Amino acid sequence: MEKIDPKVVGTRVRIARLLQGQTQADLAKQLQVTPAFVCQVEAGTKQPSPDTLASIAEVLRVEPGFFLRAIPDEFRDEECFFRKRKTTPLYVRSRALAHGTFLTELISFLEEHVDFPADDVPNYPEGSKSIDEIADDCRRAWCLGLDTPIVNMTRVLENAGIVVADFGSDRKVDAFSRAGARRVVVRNTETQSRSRLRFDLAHECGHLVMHVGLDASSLELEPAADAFAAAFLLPRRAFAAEFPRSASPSWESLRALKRRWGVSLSAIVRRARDLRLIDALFYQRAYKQMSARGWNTKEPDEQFIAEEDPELIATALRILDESGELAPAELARRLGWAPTLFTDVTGVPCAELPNDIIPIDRARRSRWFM
Amino acid sequence: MNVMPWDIHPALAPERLAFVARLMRAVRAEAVDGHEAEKGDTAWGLGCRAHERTLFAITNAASGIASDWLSVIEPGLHFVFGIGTVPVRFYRGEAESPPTRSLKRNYPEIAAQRQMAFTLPGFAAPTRAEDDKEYVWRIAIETDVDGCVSRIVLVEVADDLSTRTIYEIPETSIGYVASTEPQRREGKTLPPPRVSLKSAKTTKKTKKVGDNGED
Repeated sequence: MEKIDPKVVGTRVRIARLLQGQTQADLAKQLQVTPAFVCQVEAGTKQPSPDTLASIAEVLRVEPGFFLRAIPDEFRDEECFFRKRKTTPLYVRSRALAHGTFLTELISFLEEHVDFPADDVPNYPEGSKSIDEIADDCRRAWCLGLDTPIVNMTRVLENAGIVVADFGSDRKVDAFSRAGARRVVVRNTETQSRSRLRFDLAHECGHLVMHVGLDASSLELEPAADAFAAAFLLPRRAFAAEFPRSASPSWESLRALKRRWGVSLSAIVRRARDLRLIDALFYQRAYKQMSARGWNTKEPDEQFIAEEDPELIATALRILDESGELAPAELARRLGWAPTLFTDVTGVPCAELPNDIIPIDRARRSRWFM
Repeated sequence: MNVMPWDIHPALAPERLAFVARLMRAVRAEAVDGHEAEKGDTAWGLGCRAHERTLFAITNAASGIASDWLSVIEPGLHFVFGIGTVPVRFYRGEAESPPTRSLKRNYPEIAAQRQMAFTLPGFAAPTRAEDDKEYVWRIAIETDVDGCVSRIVLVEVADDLSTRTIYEIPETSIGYVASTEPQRREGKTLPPPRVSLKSAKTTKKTKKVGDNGED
């Protein structure tokens, strides 16, 4: 009989609960126990009975066996770079971290069966060069040229060995990243703006290039990552050459730049100001006009920017399925995730197992194994 | 060897300068033709008319025939136009003795100079550093006693009014001036990230070992 470690069970319960966006009180209510009990289980001071564990598993959309394996790599707040950390509530961050932990477990599992692109992310500690130079060096390293738009930012990251995944549940978190055994960037697909999503990815890329090993909770790192994103997506020389030469560039000319470079108008105006291509007066006027036109929440011309979908995990799952080595349903079963949970985390549909196939955990509890 | 404007900045191509100079000559000639001193026109009126008509002609060319390389950076009487990425102003007077007012720069010209600096190879500053002076590009329209153009000169003027790169623009007929701006390149489409099965590799290796063994 497998020895049950209450600490492991507690951590697993907490992570699975956070992924569902539930509080301890929420979970307690569904289980018809006290919140204190849930708290004790999560702290590892109380061991739930097999029946209670089965109930917890059902509520949290996992198999009981899920609670018995140690977590290989948990996402911790201080090692993840969050955009808008200051304004992101803790419960949203906790849920995002739980999502990241689930994702990492999936990735480790997948990497036992498939080879992902090798890690090819340059490391330039901030301050070693100017941010514009660092962004240029990254473009050179990834053979993107210094004078052309980035066609697909997601592919840039994935080809460099960074796993990009979606987290579409709350608009309060934009994107976050972590430099673990495998670098991961999680973007929020609730953000409707495609140009904004591209900027989010470039921002996280900046963290992974410049801030590995630093305290990720430091708010001082965010402006540098923003500057990297702007410099990477809008390289200074090409951008300056194409920026309209006029004291008051027209919105039409700026919108043409947006369509070509796939960067939001607000980021273009900000970049132009940072490079002193426009004066402070025009900068302020531009922001007021954008706000008055409602462009702060919904910018025009988003339809001209191609949609980008993460491909790495989906491709790995597809080739495993097609080769007959591992179907998504079987993978979900081995991970101890319910098919719906698997779909939520990966974005890949996962069929339920046929009724005549019993999960091994359930079978072990049955009398045939007694 | 004399340094020519296009050696300093490729945007200042000789055919472009000839186009602008020819425009200025033609406009001034028309203004002089319409000048009637006997009816009270003065040199001041001639200067104003020539100046305003030159602005009009350059603005028209910038939005028409030469729109791919000529632009208006600052409209109005403090007129600044762009030849490619290079901001230029003009004045009537001698090239070797530019007036102080010709140096006046507003923000649009300063911003355009900064923008030009980004487009220069090696990010050279818009001013060259060897003599530690800040230079701007000006076109001097020199006239004879009748007010007709005697010569048109492109000159770099420093903040202390010293000059260099004095280039007298030769008289030529207006022809088609092709754009020498670099073509905008499209971004590179990357392939999808490569993912391969570990088992396929292992199988391949195993098979190879087996084959060798049989040999």
